[in-house]
Amino acid sequence: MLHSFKYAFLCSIRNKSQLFWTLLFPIILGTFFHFGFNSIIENTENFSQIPVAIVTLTEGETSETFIEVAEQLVSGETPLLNPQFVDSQQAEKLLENEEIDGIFYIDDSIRLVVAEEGLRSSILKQISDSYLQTFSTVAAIAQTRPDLVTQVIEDINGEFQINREVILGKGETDTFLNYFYALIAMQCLFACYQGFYRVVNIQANMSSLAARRCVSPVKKMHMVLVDFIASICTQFVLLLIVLAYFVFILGINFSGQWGFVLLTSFVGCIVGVSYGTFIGSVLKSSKRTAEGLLTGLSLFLCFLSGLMLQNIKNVIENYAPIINRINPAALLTDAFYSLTVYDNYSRYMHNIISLLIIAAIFCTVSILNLRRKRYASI
Amino acid sequence: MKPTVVKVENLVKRYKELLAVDHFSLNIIEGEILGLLGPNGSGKTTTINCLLSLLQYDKGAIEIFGKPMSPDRYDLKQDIGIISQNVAVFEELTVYENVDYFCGLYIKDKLKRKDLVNEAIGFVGLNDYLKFYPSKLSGGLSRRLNIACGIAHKPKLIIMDEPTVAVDPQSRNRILKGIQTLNQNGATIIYTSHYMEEVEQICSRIIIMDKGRNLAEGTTEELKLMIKTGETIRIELLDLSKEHIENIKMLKHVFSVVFEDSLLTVRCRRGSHNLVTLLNYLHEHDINCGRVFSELPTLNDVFLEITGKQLRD
Repeated sequence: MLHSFKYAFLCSIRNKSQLFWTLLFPIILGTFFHFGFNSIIENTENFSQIPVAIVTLTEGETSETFIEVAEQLVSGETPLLNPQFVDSQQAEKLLENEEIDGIFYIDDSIRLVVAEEGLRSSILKQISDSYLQTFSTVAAIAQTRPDLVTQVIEDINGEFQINREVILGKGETDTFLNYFYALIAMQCLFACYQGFYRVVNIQANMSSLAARRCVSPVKKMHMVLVDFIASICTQFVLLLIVLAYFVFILGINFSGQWGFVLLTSFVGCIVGVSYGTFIGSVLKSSKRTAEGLLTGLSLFLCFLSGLMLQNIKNVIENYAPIINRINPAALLTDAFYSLTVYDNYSRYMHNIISLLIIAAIFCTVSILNLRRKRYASI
Repeated sequence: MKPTVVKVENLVKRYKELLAVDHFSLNIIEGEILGLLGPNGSGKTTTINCLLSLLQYDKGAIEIFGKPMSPDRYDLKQDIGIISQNVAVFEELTVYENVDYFCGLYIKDKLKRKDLVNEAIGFVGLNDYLKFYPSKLSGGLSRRLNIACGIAHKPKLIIMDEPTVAVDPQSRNRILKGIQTLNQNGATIIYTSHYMEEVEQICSRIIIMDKGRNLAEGTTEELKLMIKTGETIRIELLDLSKEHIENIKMLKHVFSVVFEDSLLTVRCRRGSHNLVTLLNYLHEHDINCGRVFSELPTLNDVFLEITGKQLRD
């Protein structure tokens, strides 16, 4: 048993094509994801604080109200403005030196001056327009129904408090993290190569090597079992390497639930290997055709689970939820997702059990096909 | 009397409409090297695969070491070694690891296995390539590795299915000598090939197969005695008239005369002085000769006469 296991493990670990798909490809893709998302995050952060100068030309009601609004836009978790209260000379100098993106001049009304057109100046213009519109609305009401002014101002202030974030679970819904979950799901499914190659080398009608193994005095099911376990172990080791790379090199935070993350990955490896074993046992075409089918099908399942397009899984959930229930990649990503989002494990366990049932079905069909001892043709 | 190692009776194997093995029977006695000789597609490999219980067959009975062979007879498989037509090794394992892996399927004892693996590698002369991967070996060396994987556990019955296909002459000679040594050490060998020289060189008994049938069986000499041709004489001549050709046909023991491209080919039955008689005739009629060749029948002649076609058609 150990003898066969050792060589099955060595074969898996030394197969360059398998190593590329199950180790290098996820690492490369993960690295691209990391740098791609970082760039998006950095850009988002830069938008949040726009340096501006506020120049009060005439003290009065307008200046007080606008300064109040500006202070609201400075506070909060994601401050939008970074204002400097200066005189017009200093403001113009700052704008000239490109230290600020715009100047708000306040007298009876407010006037905006920006250095150049762009996203930031659009935001500043939006703030200015919004303020002016609200201010004129309140002024109009004050003229027609002065008794309602206090109520209207309260409503306007209250508007910002209507939408309150309510955290139902653990609240860690990082959109970008879902891509890494899908990537791990992809790596698990790519374990199908391990399963496929092992099963090809055990059917006498598929290769001479298999024929040689079949005439040895070792029971076929024993060989199948050893190969299956060795493939899962190999894939799990490779997955640990990829996870370590994500966590320690790229700094991805998988919510700290390592026990469950590893369990999910291990179950994913079992599903991947049994899926490859299943394809290898039912498909009687050439190796190349089978490899193409495995790659195409795995990537398609990963696409449906959100590897390339985050929203696709939600679309499927709305129109054909059964696909999400039987797609191993979707179940894996959902298991990871539920670990980080929900504060109980019922949905997680549901996903894991579904995955194990799928693996059991693959294994049963494979065993039924592989138990054949004599072939009609070789 | 030596025991029968392999007994096949009335084996029939069909691939849909094609009759691949047609009521084939054979008996192999312990210590023999039995050659299965036949062109490609004659049913040699199919017979071997049926024998090893890899293929389903339609009819017949197969016994190995006196017991019926089936896929579950692991006790019988323990003493069988297989060397296939294609090099059947793991590309991801080195020479040593491959031999160790296959030997390990038969021999559980680690120390004993180590000795056997080293012995097999030494036997095929791959000591200098222990850490080489199969892809780095030449065709001949790969074939030797294939053999080492099949014989490391010292099987009593070795089945070699065209082990010298696409092998250089040096490696081929080494392989053939190795097979003889294995036989001298006690192994019974089934050797399939379409190279008649190899079969003639190493096999103690030969079965000629075509279209799945056993056409003839015996030692090389016995097979040659089965055919009409006892001697083939070839003489280079500038020209030869039809009259002379007819006269030569009338000479004693001669049964076939062909003159083509300045070469006279005369086939004679077994008999003494065939060459002298022919040369005397040519001399008496002032016909000048070039080079003269006289050949005893080969297995190719046997095959040609039995099947009406060349062995390598």
